[in-house]
Amino acid sequence: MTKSGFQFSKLPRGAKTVLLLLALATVLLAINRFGLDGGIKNVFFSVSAPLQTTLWEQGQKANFLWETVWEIDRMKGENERLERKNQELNAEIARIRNLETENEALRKALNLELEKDFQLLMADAVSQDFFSDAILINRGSINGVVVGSTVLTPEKVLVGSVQEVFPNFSRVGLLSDKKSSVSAQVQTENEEITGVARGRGNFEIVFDLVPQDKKIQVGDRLATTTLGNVFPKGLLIGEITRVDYSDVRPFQTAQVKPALNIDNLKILFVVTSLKQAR
Amino acid sequence: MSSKKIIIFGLIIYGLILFQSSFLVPFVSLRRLPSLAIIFVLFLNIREKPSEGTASILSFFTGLLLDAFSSGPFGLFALIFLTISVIIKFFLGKYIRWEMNKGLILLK
Repeated sequence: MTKSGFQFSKLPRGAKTVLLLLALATVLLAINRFGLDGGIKNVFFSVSAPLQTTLWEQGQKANFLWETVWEIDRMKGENERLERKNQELNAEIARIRNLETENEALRKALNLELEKDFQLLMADAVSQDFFSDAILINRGSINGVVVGSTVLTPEKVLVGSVQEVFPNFSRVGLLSDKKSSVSAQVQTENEEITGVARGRGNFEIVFDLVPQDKKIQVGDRLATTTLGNVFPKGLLIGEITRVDYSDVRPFQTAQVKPALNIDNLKILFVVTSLKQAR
Repeated sequence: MSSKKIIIFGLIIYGLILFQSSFLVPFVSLRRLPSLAIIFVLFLNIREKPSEGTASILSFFTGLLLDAFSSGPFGLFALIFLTISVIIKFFLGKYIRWEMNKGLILLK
């Protein structure tokens, strides 16, 4: 005798699946319909809450650590950016200081009223010659510099004269150069003692060809004259440091400490033409 | 169908859901990470032989867990995941053959 009626196990697999899904859907619908879902969720939350709390705290700690590492990386980038900015600002400061130096030099020149006597061209000392008492300045023939142009400092100290001119640069022979000699004079209370200031190399100058009957003293200031028509009058050369007097020689000589300080030499003026009578 | 397998994988899924819903929350960059539990259960469905039903049960369980932690109607995700699991198994059984050594092979 065979059993008749519904048998779940004899159904095709697809039909079983559909029936199962429908049964589950009905159960879940009933749970929602009768408001049991709140209770179920509450059970889930009660079980999970301690674990979740611990995990949340650990997550925050781990995140703090992660953010710290991330922050270090970000700060590294920020530091590099600030260093670049700092370099830019340092360059700007250097440029401003350079302008200040130029400005100060121009003020000095104005105070000394150099512009009243000379037509000036401002220049920077670029380098110093290794083998002679000469410097290179950053003005050349295109700026109107010619061989023989006088070069002086803002303090009206004689630097020397231009020996060689290039388009953008010029070589200036200092007064202490062995090839330099210039008519110079010492202004005393009573008279003007004239002689020749001659370069001896190594930034040394000697005041030579001073007549024996003239009395020069240590500390006297030596300046240029218009004799020889080489330099403008009144440019400071240096200070007498030692007088070499000898009866057997027709002239007396004196050691001169140059007023020009090569170490602080930066801003110079090239005299392109004279406004005063030489 | 192994009950041990269901319990172990069920715990892993539960752990993944808790991990993502609490531990990963403070990590701003990981908030948009897709659900690890869903990825895991999809992987189980694809890896498992179509004749086995473990992955389908785990899909339903995953759905239930997600329902518990979501504000939607309870059971919605469970039914959706179960349905998707059945569909995956249907396609895997009809068009793809499972071989132990070679893995999944697409049938012509």
